[in-house]
Amino acid sequence: MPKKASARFFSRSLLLKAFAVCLVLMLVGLAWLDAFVRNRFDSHQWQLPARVFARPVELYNGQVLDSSQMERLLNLMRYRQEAGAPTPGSWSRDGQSLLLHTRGFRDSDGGEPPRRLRLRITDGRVAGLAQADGGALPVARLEPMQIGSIHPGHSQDRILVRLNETPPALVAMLLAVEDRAFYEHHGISLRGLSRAALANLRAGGVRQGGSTLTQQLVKNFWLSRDRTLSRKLLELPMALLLELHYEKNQILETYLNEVYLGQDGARAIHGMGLAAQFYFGRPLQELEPHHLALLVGMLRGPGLYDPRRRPERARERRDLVLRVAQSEGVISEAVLERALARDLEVVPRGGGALYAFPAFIDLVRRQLARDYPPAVLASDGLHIHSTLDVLAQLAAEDALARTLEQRDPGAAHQLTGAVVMTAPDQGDVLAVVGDRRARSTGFNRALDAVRPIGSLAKPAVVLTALEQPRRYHLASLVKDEPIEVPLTRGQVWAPRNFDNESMGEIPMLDALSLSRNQATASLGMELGLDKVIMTLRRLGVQRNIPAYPSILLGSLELSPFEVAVMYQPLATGGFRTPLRSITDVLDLSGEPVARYPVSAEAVLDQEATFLTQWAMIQVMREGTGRGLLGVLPPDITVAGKTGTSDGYRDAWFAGFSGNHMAVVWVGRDDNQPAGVAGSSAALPVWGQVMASVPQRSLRETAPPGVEWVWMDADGVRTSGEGCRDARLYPMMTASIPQQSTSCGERRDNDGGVRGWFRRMFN
Amino acid sequence: MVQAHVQLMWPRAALAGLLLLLGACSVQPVAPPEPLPPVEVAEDSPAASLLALADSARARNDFSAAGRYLERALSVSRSGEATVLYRELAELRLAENEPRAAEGLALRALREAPDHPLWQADLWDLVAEARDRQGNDTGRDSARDNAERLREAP
Repeated sequence: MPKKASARFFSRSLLLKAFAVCLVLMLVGLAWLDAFVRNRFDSHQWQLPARVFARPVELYNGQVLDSSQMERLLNLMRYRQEAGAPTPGSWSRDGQSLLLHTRGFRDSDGGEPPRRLRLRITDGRVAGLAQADGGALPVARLEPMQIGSIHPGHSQDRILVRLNETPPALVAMLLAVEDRAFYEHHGISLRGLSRAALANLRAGGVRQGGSTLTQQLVKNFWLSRDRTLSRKLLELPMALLLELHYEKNQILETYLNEVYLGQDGARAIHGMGLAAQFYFGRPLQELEPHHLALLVGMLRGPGLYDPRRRPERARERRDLVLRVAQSEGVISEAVLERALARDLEVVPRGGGALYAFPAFIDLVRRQLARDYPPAVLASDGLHIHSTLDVLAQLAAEDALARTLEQRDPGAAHQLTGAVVMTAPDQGDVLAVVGDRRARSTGFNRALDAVRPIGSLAKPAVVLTALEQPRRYHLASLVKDEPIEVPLTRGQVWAPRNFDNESMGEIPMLDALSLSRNQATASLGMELGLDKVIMTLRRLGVQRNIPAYPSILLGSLELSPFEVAVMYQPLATGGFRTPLRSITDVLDLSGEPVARYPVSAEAVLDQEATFLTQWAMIQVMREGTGRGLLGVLPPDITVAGKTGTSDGYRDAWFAGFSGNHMAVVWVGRDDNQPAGVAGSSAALPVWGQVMASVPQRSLRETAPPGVEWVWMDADGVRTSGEGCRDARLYPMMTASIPQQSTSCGERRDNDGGVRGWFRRMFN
Repeated sequence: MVQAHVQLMWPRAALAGLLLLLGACSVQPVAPPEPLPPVEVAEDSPAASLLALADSARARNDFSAAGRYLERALSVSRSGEATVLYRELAELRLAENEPRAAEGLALRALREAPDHPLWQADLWDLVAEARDRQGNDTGRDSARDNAERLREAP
């Protein structure tokens, strides 16, 4: 063969071979791509962080709720005022009533449908609740507010929205602006590509993509964001393959949930559902055309058209989308005009309930971490129903901030504090404030500031004594006198009272209500430290309790949350009801996954607990808590205890009514003397917090085995009503002294045979 | 001193006894003691509708929903209603085969109970059943004794 011909033959054969190899490689590559696309799309699971919700607000006749609270709540929940409350998430005034259209939600009891209801509030109470059409409605709930999401390990966040739940106007605008031929093409649009190629040629570089929605989805899902030719070469076949295997609506729904629409610190905002909440504070379904147009406009560049940072540019872009939508027949001319006149109406970042309660979310996070692996929390879209009472939380934040501002004004403040509020019956944690600046995400003092509890320990000493009814009762005299307890290495513990005085022998009741250190110390030493420590354990203290005499006066260090745990059995009459921040966990479709039910375990002697509770009521009536008089309604019975640590470093108040308990701590982070005392710094906060929620009186009815007895001041003889120095005490039957002053009747009421006769004659 | 106390009591007791006797001899029949009102949740209470919903949820074995309704009822309940709701919760836990939880809740219902011997006796029976299911025979017997004592009380 001639050389030339042979070279030609070889080159042709080589070319053919190369072509064949390329073809095979392409086919293999295509097959690989096909498998990749199908596999990844089929197995794609949305990374849906667990979402945390506050407890839904219950509405019912007689509920304590004033109109301003209700309006504050509706604002927080982004209800819009609209005549007749026609759609979910709207409200209006109607004479003396409010018309509300609730949004509805799922719960482990089935939840609530969206419904229109009429609410009448008179004199701070709900005076009427009915369906808007007049039907009876004994109880209704507003949907729970989302207060956070838990996304450990990654920073994507989204709220999944199904295509049939997406406003049709959004889809229409999206297609009009981004991909008019979406329902006609097969993944790529030659017209779009050639238009982009022309534009790029003119610009001398890659400026436009000409991508279809399918291509954009492929790019967002699997490819880098760079506009390179190689990426384009992969994007085209992948888009075609995607269209080959999946329905248009499937692709569209995935697109709507996948698109990136901004950044909230470390959290990436993905999907239209979350974007609606992030920018407008409302569900996607409630957005109006001008809102939807902004979201569609932002797809071109969420940073470039960020409505918070670049409102003018964002508005121009929104208006352009609106005009395109009108020209494509998506909206009418009239709607366009109205929409153009509207502001952007973007809510301030961090202004809503989402991420507004970091201290409480911290508690939820800790509880969840015990029960769920991080991967489940990050991706399964769990709905966490928490116990947060938004109104109580806001009131607690306000009370702490206001009181500390009065005591320590200015920017360079040193005083800080924490509040924990619970509903003891259910063990629900209603509010957690970890800083005087409640939005601060730093040190959570409510859970982590571990401080000496001061006199908050005293009820434990009294309770220990009262559990020995043959030896002690509240009238028993204890010595409020200087006491010296030898310690190791020759040291001596010699506590003093806050007023540096000693009162001599005083009833145990006064030792507690007047918070006398020497009396409590001598009583505690008489009882034995081990017995007091055992009581503290039964109250729920889990930390190591050193067997030093100073624990009697509260050298024991606890966090405000641990104090709430410790006071829980005192508030419930002797039952340990574990504090919970979560009631239910639901899966993505609203089906119950887990419940955290109310429980109660009897841990204290019922009668002794009642007596301790009663003594703590006297703290509020005539002891160190009496400064609160007038803050709460006079007919509400509450009990509590002040606490102040050495050097006025820590001020505490812990107390409860029949349905709420609150613990307040005030002090400094550097643990320096803060000049604060329980009665002057913590009590006012406690009073404001408790006054802000509906209260039920603490029961003063004695349980079986407790009688009311008039006692002489000597603490060893019964006396009678009207007798000199006689005081009435609740007393366990086993404690009632045999000796009497022979003055009057010793029992006050219906105890025993005499009471029976008296009832008869009355 | 005990004697002195008893002596002080006797004259009045004797007088009362005499009056009782005279009362019995008079023509007017002695009215029987009025039965105590039932312990229940008031019909117009917000807790009542939730209690009814809890009942229907329990009837269809949806314990999770029943529990949620009862806890909601507890949070909106009026004074004096807690004893009914804790009792319902205790019975629910028993049905869920959680006798330990049921015992605690029944005792809690007792703590909130009014001075109503029959109601309290029923609650002690519930405690006895919960203890029995935990194999606590002594506790069960003591709870039953309490119930009996209350039923026999005048």
